[in-house]
Amino acid sequence: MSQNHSAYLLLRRLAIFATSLFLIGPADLQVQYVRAAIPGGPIAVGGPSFGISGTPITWNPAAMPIQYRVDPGPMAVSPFTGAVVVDNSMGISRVGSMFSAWTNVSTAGLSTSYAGPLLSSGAYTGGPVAVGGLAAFNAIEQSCNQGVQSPVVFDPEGNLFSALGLSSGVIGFGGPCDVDPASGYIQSALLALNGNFQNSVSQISTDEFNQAITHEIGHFLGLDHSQINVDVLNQTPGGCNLAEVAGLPIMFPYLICQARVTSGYPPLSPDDSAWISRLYPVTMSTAGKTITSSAFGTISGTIYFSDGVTEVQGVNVVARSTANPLGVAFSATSGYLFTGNPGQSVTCALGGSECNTGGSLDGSRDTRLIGTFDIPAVPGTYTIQIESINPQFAGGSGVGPLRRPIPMPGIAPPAKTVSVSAGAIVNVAITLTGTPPRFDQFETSQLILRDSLSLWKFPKNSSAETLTQ
Amino acid sequence: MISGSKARAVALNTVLLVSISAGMAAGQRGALTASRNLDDLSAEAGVIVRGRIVSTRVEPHPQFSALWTVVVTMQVDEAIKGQIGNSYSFRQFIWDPRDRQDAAGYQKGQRLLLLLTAPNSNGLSSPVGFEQGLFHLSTDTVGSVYATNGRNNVGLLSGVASRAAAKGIRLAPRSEALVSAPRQGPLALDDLLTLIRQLASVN
Repeated sequence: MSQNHSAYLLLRRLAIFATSLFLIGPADLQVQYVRAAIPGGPIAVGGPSFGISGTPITWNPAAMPIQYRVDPGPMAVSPFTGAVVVDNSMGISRVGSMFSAWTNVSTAGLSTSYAGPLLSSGAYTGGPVAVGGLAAFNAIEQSCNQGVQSPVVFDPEGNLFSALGLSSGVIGFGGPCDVDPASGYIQSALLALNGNFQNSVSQISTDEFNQAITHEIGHFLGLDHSQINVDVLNQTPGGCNLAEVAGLPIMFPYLICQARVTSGYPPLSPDDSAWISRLYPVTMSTAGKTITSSAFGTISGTIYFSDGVTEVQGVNVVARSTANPLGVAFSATSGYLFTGNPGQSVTCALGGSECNTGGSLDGSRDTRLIGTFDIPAVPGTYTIQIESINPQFAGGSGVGPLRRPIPMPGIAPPAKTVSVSAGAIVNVAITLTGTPPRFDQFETSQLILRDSLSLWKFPKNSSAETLTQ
Repeated sequence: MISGSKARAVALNTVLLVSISAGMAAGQRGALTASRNLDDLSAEAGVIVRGRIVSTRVEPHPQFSALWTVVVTMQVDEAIKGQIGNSYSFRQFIWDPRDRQDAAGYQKGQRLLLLLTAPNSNGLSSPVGFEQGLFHLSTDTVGSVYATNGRNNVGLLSGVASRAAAKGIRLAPRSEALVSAPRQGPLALDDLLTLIRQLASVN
């Protein structure tokens, strides 16, 4: 073997390695389980050995209501005067209202109930968690991790958040604690509220606070982020265009605009309502509820590279009502049921210390799901818009199956218009124009090599095949 | 046959691609934060440090075992605020099980500018405003370094001009120009550090 050929083989490995990084990112090489953030959809999707492959991770719809327990202390106390600003009963009521924003969706078949004050657990023997400090919170967290209870913790003066090392700007946090790996059902979740945002220390409006916590409850229930009207990021924080706020999901990654309720809109956007209904559909006639399929249709499809064959992951697809394009919009990201990290053995084979052979626990490995999307939408006429996920929506602010979004390759074709009927599925195939050569983790190394080299401006006659000869 | 220059081109592009991927920093999952401008972030930060991550470790808190944490160790290129040496480690609480799997997005090799809360008595701290106090650093083709936080610097410089004026800080002309017309997107690291130093000197 010539020296040049050896160099070529090394470069080929580097090229393949780099391409795999382009797809999954280096952090993913370090771990065995990386979640796929799914826009406007489930917080995670089952994988080969985690839940049911390709099925969203949710609470068990047959075990409703979801029961949560609440801190028996006040929700907000003034550190200046010691006066209670939001007492426990009001706090419980407000939390209940925030849960109701989701459970009141007539097409969503989920319910929640306040099960009483927090259960004693270890070092937590009752009373306000904040009084017991970090030891008490640690015990509550433990009980949540074990699936014993789903706690709502009040931090009336922000002392607990501070003890956790969190900065003053953190309004609240939450999400599932425990998921049954067999069924994929959420067993418990936690919600923590920083009272400093309601006691004049870092005051925000009641509407803004409620919206922030309702967003966290969305995670608690199994929803992830959604990207619609992303242009608000270019607008004045707190002074966003009203027409865009109408369609701005409460599950948008950042709290950057004025609250939806303050703007005269309901707490949830159409996209929020659609996705909670998709995760928890009403399938039988129930008092006060509407059968989901009678109120929603589905826009399904696949995004393709210019070759019309290779599917593209991580493209945001937004269906906008022709009657109210900014206010009534629904979204999904291509490949949302497929894993964001299928794994690869290249780094291990190269002797690297960071292996990722198995990829994520979550997300389907059914290759038929690559690049596909399903958008729940109320009956009407829609234009289908496709776009990149905002590059800053990564990791904790992630949107889409890829932990780090990629720019949408190529150019979007002219927008298609579709009509949606209740209970019907409209199929849409979208082929991008002018894309670079295809790349995905299932291509042969020769294809990856050839395309990678052509991307890197190698002469067209220097194909992989000729180089190896 | 592959020529030497082509080989170098491939290798260079490979390195660039790796650098781009490694440069992405991610915030913590499952929290919402209020918007904070640079003056807020600088004031609340007990430690402001620029450097490179040399290791991450996910482990339970040594005293409170149900609280998972990520311990991040950085090789310090510059300490802007706080008494720290050539190496700096901080321990951050992570509540989301998914953050345990990927160290909340911290990665060995990342070049970051971090505005961190001072470590508390439990040894815990975190970037101020999470993604807002975490800037990833990138270098352009001519070697200039840029800083971008997890919000693409949206709102970072809003209101800073009036704050500086209220504090009697006379900003350098270049800083004045930046804060008088705030925009999102990467900021030249030197410009950002100049602003932070000016704001932190008063805070």
